[in-house]
Amino acid sequence: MKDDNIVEVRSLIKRYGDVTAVNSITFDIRKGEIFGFLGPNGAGKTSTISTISCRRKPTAGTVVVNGFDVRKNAKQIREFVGIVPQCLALYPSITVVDNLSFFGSVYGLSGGVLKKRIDETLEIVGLSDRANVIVESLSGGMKRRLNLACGLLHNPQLILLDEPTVGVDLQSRNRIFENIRRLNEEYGMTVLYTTHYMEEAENLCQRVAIIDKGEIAALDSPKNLISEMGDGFIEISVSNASEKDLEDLNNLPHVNKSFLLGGKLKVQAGKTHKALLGVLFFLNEKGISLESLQIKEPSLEDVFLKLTGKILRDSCVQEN
Amino acid sequence: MMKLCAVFLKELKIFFKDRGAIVQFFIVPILVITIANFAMGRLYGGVGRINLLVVDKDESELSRRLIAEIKDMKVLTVEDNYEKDGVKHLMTEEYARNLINKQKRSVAVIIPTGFGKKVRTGRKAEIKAIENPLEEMSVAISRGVMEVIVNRLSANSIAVNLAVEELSETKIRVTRDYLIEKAMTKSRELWKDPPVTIENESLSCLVGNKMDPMKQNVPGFAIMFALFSLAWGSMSLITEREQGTFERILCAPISKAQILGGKLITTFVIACFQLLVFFTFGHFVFGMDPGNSIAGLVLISIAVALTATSMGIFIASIVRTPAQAGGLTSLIIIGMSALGGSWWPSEFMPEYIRVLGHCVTINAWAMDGYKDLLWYGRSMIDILPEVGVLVGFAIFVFSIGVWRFSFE
Repeated sequence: MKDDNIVEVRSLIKRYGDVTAVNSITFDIRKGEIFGFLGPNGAGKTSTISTISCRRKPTAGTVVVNGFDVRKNAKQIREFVGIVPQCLALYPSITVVDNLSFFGSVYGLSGGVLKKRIDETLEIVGLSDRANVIVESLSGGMKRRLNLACGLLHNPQLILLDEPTVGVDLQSRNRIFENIRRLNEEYGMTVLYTTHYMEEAENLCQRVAIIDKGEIAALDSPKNLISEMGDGFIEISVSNASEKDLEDLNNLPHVNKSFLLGGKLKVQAGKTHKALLGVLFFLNEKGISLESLQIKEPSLEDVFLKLTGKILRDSCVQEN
Repeated sequence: MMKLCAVFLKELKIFFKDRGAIVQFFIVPILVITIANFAMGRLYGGVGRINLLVVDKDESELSRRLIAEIKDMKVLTVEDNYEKDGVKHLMTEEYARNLINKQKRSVAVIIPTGFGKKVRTGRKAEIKAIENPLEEMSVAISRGVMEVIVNRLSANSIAVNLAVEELSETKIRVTRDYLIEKAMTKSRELWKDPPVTIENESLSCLVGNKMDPMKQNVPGFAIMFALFSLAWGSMSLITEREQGTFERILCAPISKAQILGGKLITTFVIACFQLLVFFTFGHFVFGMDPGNSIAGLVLISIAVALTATSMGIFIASIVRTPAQAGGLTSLIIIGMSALGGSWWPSEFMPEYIRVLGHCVTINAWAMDGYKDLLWYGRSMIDILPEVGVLVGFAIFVFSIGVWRFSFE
């Protein structure tokens, strides 16, 4: 294992009966980075996290965390890994402090150390003034922050965040981002962050793995992934284009690939301004009526589209 | 051990924060026990005095003697007069009928005019009884008492008339009335020390403490409501599975045994605490005699709590959702309580139901144990078979529960 890696995953396969959730993926997470797992629901993100956290054993392949194999050294790994599950894994009828006290205790904290860690963690997530409030009376965003806090009590080296912003408002989401950045920058925690929101991965993560149907489609920094997309997209709303038109469109100069999604024609081009004229002539020739046209900067959303042929949000909706 | 305690303390906090659970586990049972004690007291040997209306139309010496004899019977309270507008009146047939019609009384006895004279002269005399057929128990008891008294009077009358007939044929020069009076007086004296009596012997092995309804109601409802802790235990396991807290805890350095152990200990402690509260309540509020073996009571109560706890994990292992658990536990608790004699003494039930109760419920065995201790004053050794059955059942369902239980 390389010294600067905290997680090394090699050819990991995870099956549930006949269903393959993770299909031979390989990647590393470096110490001190925020590593993103971007993909729709059911892509295999949670299964990968479950394996790294020793909650589930791999069907095949190896997962080594800080030099310990998940198959052989689960107990040691659990000591320095924190997990924040996608659902609100809290006890709603007892107080914030009671929840933290319990989750701290199961990590072996007690007495003054536990109290100190509870105070510190509440300060990190900004819930110090809510310490003695019953959890069910907290707002959704506060519950999310408490959910995060419960995974931080034992000061883990690696924190696994499974879609920590699902269902929260923008303000709470930003607060959670601040918390995560602070944990990474001030406390040196390595973060594995799964999400199906491309903006989150783009803004927060130093490196991102795009995962779909249990396989990693691409892995690099958001900047590098986006740069491979050329300088942008031409997005045209059309009323009567067909799949057959796409083949002809792809053969035009400077056009890399085109997609037809819900009445919108998306044309990815190495140089959009050079491709634009050819595309417009083509549409005119084919008698395709144009309703609107935009030239867009590429994003991780476009990377996902290019790699999988579908929009990330659409696939989330479909799979939900 | 520390982690197991952490789970236990967390569970206790959750339980005591749940006001609904406190009401269901402690307040409702105490109310039910109290109501059952007052409402069904008569079923358990605590039959109170029955009010008997007596209308004396005859007002003879014999009718007065008859009323005096009824008054001597401890189970009946004779009402031979009534008060209206501050004035006392002798009970009339019309007034008595009215009271029975309004269901305020169950039975009235009418002594007709000429009753005394008919009895004295050996002619057929009838006492009339008016009854509310719906008050079967009061009617039966009143009938029994009246039959005893009427039989006595009949025998008395027969004996006196026989004696008078015989003496009339002799040459003794006395009047018939004189003979009757003499014979009646003598027979009255003889009745005070009757020549034939019944000697009652209660089997010493069955003589325990005095029976009172609390000795049925407290253990019966205590078992039933302790079983509700199985519902809480199973619900707690299923809820943790549903809300994802198990997923989080299982990623921590804590074993499944510690998680389950902490939760099961909580269920067990709650069930034990319930039983302690109910028996303490029965003893200090209603004066229920705890029998001769407190150790025995503790032992059988622990066995009941163990069984409830084990059934909790068993239920959690065979259902997926809290709704399923709620339905199944209600069915089990109510079914077992009815069949197992928690609501009424199993002695009231047909033999096949009693056998069935012992085959499919833990209540029947637990009640047997409690009855041995409370009803018959037996010792801890005597209830070991019942304790053995309960513990054996607990181990069996616990093993299946742990084997089948899924944290996912």
